[in-house]
Amino acid sequence: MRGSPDRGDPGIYVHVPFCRRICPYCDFAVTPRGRRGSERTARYRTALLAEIALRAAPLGADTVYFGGGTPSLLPPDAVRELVASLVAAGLAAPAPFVILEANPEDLVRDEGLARAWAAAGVSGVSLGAQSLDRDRLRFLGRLHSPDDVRRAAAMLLDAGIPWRSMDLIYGDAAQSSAALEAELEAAAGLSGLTHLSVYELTIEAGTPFGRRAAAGERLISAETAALFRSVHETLAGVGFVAYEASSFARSKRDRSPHNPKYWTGAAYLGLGPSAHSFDPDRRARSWNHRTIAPWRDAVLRGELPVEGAEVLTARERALETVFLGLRTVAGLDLDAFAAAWGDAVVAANRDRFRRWEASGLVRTGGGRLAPTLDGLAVGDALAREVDLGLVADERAAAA
Amino acid sequence: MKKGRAAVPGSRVRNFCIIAHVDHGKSTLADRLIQRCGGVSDREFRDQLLDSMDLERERGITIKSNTVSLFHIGPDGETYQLNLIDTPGHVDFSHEVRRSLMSCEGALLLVDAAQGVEAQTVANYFVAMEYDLEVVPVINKVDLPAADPERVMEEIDDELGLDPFSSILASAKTGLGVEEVIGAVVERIPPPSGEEEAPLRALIFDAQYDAFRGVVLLLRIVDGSMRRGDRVRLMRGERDYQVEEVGRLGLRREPVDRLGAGSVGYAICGIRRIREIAIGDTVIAGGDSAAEPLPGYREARPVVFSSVYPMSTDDYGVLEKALGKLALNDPALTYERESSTALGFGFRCGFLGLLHLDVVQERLQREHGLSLLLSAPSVRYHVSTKVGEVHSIENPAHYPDPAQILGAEEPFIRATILIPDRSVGPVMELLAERRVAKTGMNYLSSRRVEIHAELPLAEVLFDFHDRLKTVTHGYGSYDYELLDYRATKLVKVDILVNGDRVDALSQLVHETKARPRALAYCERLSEAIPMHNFKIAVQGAIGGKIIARTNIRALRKDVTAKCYGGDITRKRKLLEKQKEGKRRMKQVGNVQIPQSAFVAVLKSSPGA
Repeated sequence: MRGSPDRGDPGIYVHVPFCRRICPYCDFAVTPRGRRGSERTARYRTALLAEIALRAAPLGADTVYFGGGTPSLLPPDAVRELVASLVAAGLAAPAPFVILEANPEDLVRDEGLARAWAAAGVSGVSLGAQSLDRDRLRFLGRLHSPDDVRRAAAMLLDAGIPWRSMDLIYGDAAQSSAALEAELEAAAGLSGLTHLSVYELTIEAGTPFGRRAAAGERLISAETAALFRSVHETLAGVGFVAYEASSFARSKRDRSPHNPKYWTGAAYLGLGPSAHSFDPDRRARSWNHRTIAPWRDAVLRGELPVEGAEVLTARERALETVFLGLRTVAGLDLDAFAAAWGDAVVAANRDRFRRWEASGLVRTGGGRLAPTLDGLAVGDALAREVDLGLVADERAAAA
Repeated sequence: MKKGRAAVPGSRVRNFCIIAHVDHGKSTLADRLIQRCGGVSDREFRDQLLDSMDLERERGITIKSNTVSLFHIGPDGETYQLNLIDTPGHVDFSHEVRRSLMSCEGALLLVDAAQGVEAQTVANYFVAMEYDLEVVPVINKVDLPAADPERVMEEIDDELGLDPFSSILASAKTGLGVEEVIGAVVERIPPPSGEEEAPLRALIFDAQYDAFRGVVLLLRIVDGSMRRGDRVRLMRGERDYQVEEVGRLGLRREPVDRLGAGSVGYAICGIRRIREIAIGDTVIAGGDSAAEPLPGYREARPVVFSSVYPMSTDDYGVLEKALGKLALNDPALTYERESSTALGFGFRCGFLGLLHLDVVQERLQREHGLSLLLSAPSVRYHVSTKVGEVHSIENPAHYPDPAQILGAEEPFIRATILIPDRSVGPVMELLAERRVAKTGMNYLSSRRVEIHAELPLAEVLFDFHDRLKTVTHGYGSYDYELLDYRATKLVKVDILVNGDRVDALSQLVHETKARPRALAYCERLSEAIPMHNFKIAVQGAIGGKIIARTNIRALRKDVTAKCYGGDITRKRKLLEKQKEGKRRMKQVGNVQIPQSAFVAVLKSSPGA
């Protein structure tokens, strides 16, 4: 299952569920690292190797992304060993592009960590900064200080890690537009960052923030549309160009080599608890057990740790293509869409696209439907409006 | 219920009704009379029994007239049959009052001991006079602390010219005076005077629909008699029918062998279709070509029009059936098919007034489970064009090209307004706002003033009653009759959403009202349309000229912040659910307008 040229090569996602502390907004599959953290990490590592062995196949992914959780809690030698196993199992191509999510406090605790990662084959680090403001960091439940972020960013550059990104969160009720702009400019000015992921704070049910919001507390800004615009305009002004609703790069080659795979329909394999996989040829998505224990029990028994799977109908897949496409600045490839789902589907929406263009939400041309900044801000709303009634809504048999 | 009661001779029959202003206690009095005459068992007795529809009970007003036969042993020891013909009590329903009065020889004129004589009381009294009815004034609610029977007796004297000392003081609630009322019905109201041996002539004063038996005619036999097996003819319908059953109207239908001259009852004649009959028609013997129709019947003409759309397009058929059913009992209700780009298929309906409209809407919703949208009510205009044609137009959709219009006329009414003298100033101001053409004033007594005003009907359609109540602190009342058509400056106001006309919101209004009306609609629509992903302009326009504008801000951000492997399935499922919700919205151009927005705009009357 090699990637086809239009969707890109397959990618691998490895979920590292441990955190020193759980952030109040986070609803990912995470678990406190606890006092016997190194012991738990070691057991996790063993199980992950077992899953790699179970799934061995000639996938040949060109990226390996360690996400979490807090992958920076994983010792560098573990990273090296896991990547080597992935390559050995055929899942990853030789010398894949390895990206690791890291918390600033882990880097500043250990002067040698960034270099050790580089030596272990890590090509990119995504720094979980979230903010450069002390009060906001506290609100977001983070353990690091603004200064830790600055030092960590400098360490990545010093260590020679070629792709250096940072995650930021905006849009909490207390944040003014001016404060947001100041933070973004500060982030962009940090030494050596090539990439930024800037996310709107999202309140998820079942999290501490979710409970506070349910109790009536206002956590989210009322001005998210204006803030979204401000993020894009401010970053464009300091040399970070958006290529997706939340993703910004200094240049085209600084874009994430891994994340776009999710938006373009590439194949991806997820390893570790809660990780999702997608096989575009069979239009099949599956997901691992969300918590560590059932996932580990399964792989140690020699069974795939899959909790659920779905085979998408053509219409479901078409809807995904639309809403994922409309998140990207390049937009939806209408020619490819017509080739996949039929000319009539595109024709049925021509008037709608024309109205969007008249309203300044999209640009058409070159066979693409490319959202403008206004369109990008409401990509989900646009996707809801696309009429996919002509696309078959039946479960496809495996190809 | 007593079965097989012997027929009561015409001399001991009394046909009467109760006329009253809304809320003056008519239904309560009817209940008392029914209870006192044993016409109903306790189990069957319900509060305000004649108001059999839920809607009527809930609103405390009577919309449909019903009739019940009561039996009473008179002072002479003989059994009298008292046919109580119920009448509706609101200005919109004066045609039904008229039909009821035509079936009676007498009327109880009920006046609230605290409220006194009101405009409607006067209007109904004049109709009763027109039909030569014996009128018995009954001053009701004398038990209330605010009761002032002496003042009311003065008003009866001054304003109605009736002998105040013929009034009966009563409290329908406590039962006080009810015996006296029954006595007055027997003694003061004359028996019907029809000729038993003459050829049949009967007035259809109402009709019901029975799912098994078809149309049930409610009749007043004026001359002759009617029996099972007779062949009869409906004069307007020009069709003969065989009488299957005749009977009296108790709480249920009670079949009898024959209905004699002067009696009131029902007939079932195998009429299947609602539209075959006309209320007010005369029933004669089959083959009788010499009969004259009964006089005095006036066709009730709709004067207020509105488009009625089902919320769900699937309900169009249900709506059509339901309107057909309602129209059986309600000849003033007209309807014809119509379609709107925004709201789909519906009906343009004609009503007697706003309350009539309201009641029809509620009956459709309650009795037929329909959810409806109604366009702004309109009157019927006469529009003359340069090619010399005159069009009757009540639907903005049919308004001709303004360049071709020579002139327009609108219906005027003569309103009779009764108010306390201290409210004259505010009421005159209200009338001035409503483009009044002519006013006149009479002092009915030292404190009560009657104002006559000629003004456009369109001006009382919207909240006039409420405003009158407000400026008179609740003491004002009014009634009106249609006068004539007069020249007017008419414009068609369109509402545009991002440049696309919302056809269901177009209106015909006087040019001075165009801007405030347009602005009111724009504002309400702006509040009710959810934000979109782009700015929306809501405009009011006359032709190409924009006269009002409001904006709806662009939507807050609507894109998933983070969308990676694990979120894609979840996000897609959420979008699918939201897409389903969108299907239920109405699309105008590129704007989705939820039905709730139409409801918000159309439900309340424009303040302008």
